[in-house]
Amino acid sequence: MSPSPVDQERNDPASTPTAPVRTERPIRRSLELTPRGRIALILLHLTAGAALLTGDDNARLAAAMIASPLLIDLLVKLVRVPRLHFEVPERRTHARASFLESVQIANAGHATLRDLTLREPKLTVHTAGPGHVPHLPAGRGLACRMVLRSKSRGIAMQRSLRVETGWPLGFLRWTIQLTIPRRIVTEPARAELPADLARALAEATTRPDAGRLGEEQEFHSLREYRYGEDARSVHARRSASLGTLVRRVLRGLPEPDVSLVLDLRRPPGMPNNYGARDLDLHLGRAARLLDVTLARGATLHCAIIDDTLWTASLDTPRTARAALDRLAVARTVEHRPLTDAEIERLSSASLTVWIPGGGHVEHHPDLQTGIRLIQQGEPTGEVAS
Amino acid sequence: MRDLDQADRNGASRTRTFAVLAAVGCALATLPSEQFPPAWLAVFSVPAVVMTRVLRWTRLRQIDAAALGLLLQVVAIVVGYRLVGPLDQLAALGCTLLPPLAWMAARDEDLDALRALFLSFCVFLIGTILGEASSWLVVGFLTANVVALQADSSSSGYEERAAFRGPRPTHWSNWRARIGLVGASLLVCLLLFQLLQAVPSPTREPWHSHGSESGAHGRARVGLDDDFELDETGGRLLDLRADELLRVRPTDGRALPRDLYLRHAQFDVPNLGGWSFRPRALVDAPGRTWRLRRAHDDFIDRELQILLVEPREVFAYVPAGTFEIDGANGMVGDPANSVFRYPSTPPDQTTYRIRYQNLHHLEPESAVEAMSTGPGLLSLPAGFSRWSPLFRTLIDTPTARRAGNPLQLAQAIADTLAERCRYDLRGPQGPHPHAILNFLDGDHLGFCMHFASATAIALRMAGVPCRIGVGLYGGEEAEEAEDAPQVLKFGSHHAHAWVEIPLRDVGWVVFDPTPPAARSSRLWPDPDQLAEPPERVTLRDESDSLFSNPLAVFSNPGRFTWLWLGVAVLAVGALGLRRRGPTVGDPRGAALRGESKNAHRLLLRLLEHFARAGHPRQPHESLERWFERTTRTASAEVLPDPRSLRDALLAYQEVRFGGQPFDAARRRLMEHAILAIDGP
Repeated sequence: MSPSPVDQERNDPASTPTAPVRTERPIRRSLELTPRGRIALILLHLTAGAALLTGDDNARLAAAMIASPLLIDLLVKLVRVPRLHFEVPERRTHARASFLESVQIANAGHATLRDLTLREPKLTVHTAGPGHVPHLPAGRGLACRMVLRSKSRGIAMQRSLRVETGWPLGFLRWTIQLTIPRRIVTEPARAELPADLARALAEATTRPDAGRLGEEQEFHSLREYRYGEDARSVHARRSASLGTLVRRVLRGLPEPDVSLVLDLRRPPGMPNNYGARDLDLHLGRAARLLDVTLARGATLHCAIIDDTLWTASLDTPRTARAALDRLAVARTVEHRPLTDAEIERLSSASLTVWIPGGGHVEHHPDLQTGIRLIQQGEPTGEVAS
Repeated sequence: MRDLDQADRNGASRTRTFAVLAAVGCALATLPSEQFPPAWLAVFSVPAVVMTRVLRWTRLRQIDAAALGLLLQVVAIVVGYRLVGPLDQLAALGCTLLPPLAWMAARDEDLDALRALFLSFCVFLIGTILGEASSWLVVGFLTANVVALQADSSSSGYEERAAFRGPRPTHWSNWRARIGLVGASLLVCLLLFQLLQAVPSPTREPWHSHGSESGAHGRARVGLDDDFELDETGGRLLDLRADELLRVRPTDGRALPRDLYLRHAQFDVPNLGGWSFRPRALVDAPGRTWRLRRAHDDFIDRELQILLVEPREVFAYVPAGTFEIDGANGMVGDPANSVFRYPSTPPDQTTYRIRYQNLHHLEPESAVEAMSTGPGLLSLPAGFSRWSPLFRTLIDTPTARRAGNPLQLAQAIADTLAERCRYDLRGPQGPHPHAILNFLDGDHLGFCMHFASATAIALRMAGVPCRIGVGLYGGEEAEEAEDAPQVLKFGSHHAHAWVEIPLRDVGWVVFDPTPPAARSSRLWPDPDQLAEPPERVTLRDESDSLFSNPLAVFSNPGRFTWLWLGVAVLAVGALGLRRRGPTVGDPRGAALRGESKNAHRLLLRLLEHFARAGHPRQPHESLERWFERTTRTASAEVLPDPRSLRDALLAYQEVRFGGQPFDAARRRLMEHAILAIDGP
């Protein structure tokens, strides 16, 4: 048996579907001529014109022979108007990472539909091709899977699908374009962290005896294993009995504490597009840092400086998603000085990673900046204390 | 899944390939074999087919392949010319389509199928125009086209890379749909063909009939179909309505000639619908006396004075065998073909003298040979191949086979016609689209034109060049004063048609195949008489038209074979297209989430049981891999029957991914697998 698509989807870390939603009515359904149909129509014009002008029987026969498949194609398409219902899940993915989308299609009409092609034009991966449904009887449905990819980060509030069918003769084509009010969050593409930062993070968030019970720690509970966590914490027996990986949660040790500051301010006087090229790289590093920190079980205090200062302690998937949502829509802002209150809030963490996403490097003496990733995407950081 | 896609693609592609080949075959079959000998078709097709194979098996560069293909084609043409003989110009032009057609049909890549269909349609049209495609060929061609288009439309979906492919329809379902499409296409084609006939055209009146119709001037027009008109450069014999067109007076002191054929036109281009003539150059008369040829020593010279009484047309009538015209001032003509005219209508009482010889008094037993002429006088009607057996019966008689010269052969044909056919001014009726065919295979009734046409075509089939002569024949004696010389007068009712055969050392000889008894009667149908409602016959296209008389579909079903065939095919198709089984009431989610969830629940229970038994499914492990591992490692106590587990997993995947319902059978399979591991 070939690998199950569901398993593939389950194993895809970059993609998380949530509960599907049923589509609203299609916004546009159009019947258009294909290139084949246009040529046939031109030939029909010529032959029918010749038949009418000359009254020649051969021209009449030619016109009738060209017109009949065209008419039949049109009639069949008018009789078999595709009436489809769709269910599409909400989606969270990474920019430029392909994912497998499962779209539920149901034929709500009274006639069997054939040769349906399903695409999501904005996200289609051309090398993978669309979803193809050769046969969909009336009243039946199936899950059509497509390989999609969101090219740029952001949050779209709706999905746009396009269904086409040229059956039976391909002179005309039904095209249904529909918009489904389902969110797709495209997080920044993950970027590799500089080696020194990765090493510093590892020291700050990893304990040498992690996974073992010692004098200062004790077993607290079991929870689901998340992709990327230290495999040594997996509870082997329990995982085996449950059929899915679970890990131990210990207590008694102080939780590691890391602060991330994403500064989206541009340097003073810089235009709007300043630093736009490096912004995605900075956001990708911020997202990667968020992933790594949470995977190691540490708490990440995240601060994003734009027009305001947004802070949050990320220790649950929900709060992490909120931070990633902000990263997905992050833009550089005009420079503004930090207020004293903001500086006070930013200077509390033990290890602070400062990412100058907008290109501005803050040199305030009260800020204890442990690692400062400088602009221009340099792999090494400016390290202090 | 990949194998399944391959199978689908192959099935649709194979159907498309066969359908395209069938369409090409039908198109080639429409080409008349006389003009397009099969050997020549092979000459123009085989090199292209060979080149597709060569390119598939070798890695020739494109320029080398083109050169090789050209060389092959040239060699094939040379060989064909040596072995088969020359190809006529029109056929050679049509054959230029064959190499690309064969190339596209044999290569069958990308858009080749559509290109091949287009080219085969062009070839089909050529065949239909030059010949006449039979109904079965039209049906076959349209059927092959529809199937090819449908298969191409389906196969393009399979040939495109797809991230996912849903369940495919069954072969029966595919063919059921195709049958319905073919039936509907045939019926629509038939209706459109009839509908286009009903639409008025600048060159054709609606509800046109073959046999007779009211002309533009309210006068009756008669002939072999509409195309056969005794019309040339503005004159029409049939439209002349005069009891007396001309008077003929012998000026040589001899008796009145009773077998005078006064020709005013000749036709040499045959067609089943009628005859026409090639363009000819008319020259001015050189002077008062126009000497056409040297008189023969073996025939008696006659001299006549011809008086055009009240000429209303430009015709100049000369007897067959004329060698000199005296008083030809103002005439134009083609001396080679003995056709003469006035540039405009001559004044009343125009007179000219004729010297001629009665060449048709040549005895049939004389040893004469047909004059060697160009291919034009041996050409046969377009689309003749289909009907050639009808004419062949005229020359396959013992008398005709024994004929030693053209005149004997013509006489044998005329005798056969006299036996089979009867002279009647109404013209023939029958099942065929052309009057000449009905004359031979319908009610066998016809007048001089049908006798002459049938004889001329049969003579040409036998290799005797000939043409049709048209003019006046016979005449009647005018009531003159007793002391005045005898005079023959000719009216429009003396119009007649005959055959003219060029004989070596003699010239054009008149042969009249119309039965002698009928020649002496009124020869040409009276337009007034024919304009009246027909008494005995209803012309075919008028009475049995689908639109003018819909009940004819039932009263005369044989006439509407097409329609009945279309209805039958459509009925079969409709039965085939009938939707099977009730529609699920509310499709929204009915077959999707609920059934998948139920199946998934059972799958989880199954996996849980196996996990308890020591065979858990690992994270990241696909169901297939888990199945393989479990069947390999599990003991017989845990997994007594691996097939039940496999069936359960297949049932789940069919529901989850195949869009199949989670019905009782699939539920039972999954529950059976769970019970198997639980034990009794």
